[in-house]
Amino acid sequence: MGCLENMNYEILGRNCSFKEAREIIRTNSTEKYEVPPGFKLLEKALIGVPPLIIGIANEKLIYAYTKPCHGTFVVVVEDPEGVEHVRRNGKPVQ
Amino acid sequence: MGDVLILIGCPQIPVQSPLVLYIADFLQDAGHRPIVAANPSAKQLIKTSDPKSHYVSAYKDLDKAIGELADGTIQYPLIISLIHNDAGLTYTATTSAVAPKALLISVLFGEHAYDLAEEIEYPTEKVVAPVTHNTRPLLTKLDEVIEWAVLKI
Repeated sequence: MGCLENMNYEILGRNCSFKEAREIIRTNSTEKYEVPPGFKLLEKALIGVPPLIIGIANEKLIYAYTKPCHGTFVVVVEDPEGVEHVRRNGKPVQ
Repeated sequence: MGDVLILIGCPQIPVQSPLVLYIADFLQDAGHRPIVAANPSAKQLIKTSDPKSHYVSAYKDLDKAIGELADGTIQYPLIISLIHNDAGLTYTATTSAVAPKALLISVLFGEHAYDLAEEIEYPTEKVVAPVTHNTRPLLTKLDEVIEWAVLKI
């Protein structure tokens, strides 16, 4: 576990609204899970407007990452522990 | 009298910092401790305006403050969130979800204030005016709502 900056990640979308981010996650994921706001990933509470969707594709996590001055990004992160955590604790959704 | 959390976003809209000091002053007069949760640049602007902490009692990192609320390690009876963009709305919706017992006031300003206010789906009292440089249109409603809130907590 650690900071996003220390992980292998790509950016799928940037400067999006949270709604747009949710749609990008849905269309790019093979598995989707709903989690509550404040759900911990990389030891940090996830920021988001419910329903908060985390996707998984090719064993990577796809989720929204919001910064106060830069809006919402959609990131694809190689985080095997996070993938297990989401599968174990998220609610599968279509 | 307890701590009250003031959540603030990106400091790009000029009315934000004076609103924080105005709200903090109101809370101090009512016997509360204003705690500001901000990112580093927004925090620096407030600290520069209030170097001796006459208004703001303490600061917290924004993400850390939300993390503490999510963990349940800290609670506030009243949270006042200043919002002028989608990210601010996202942070405030998160706060509402992780601190459902807090009385939440959303203060919306900036050119998209009305559009943002319409998107709100969490329980909150809204104070809205599409201002960027002039705080006056917000103040009467803000006074009313904060006065009501401090009596309620």
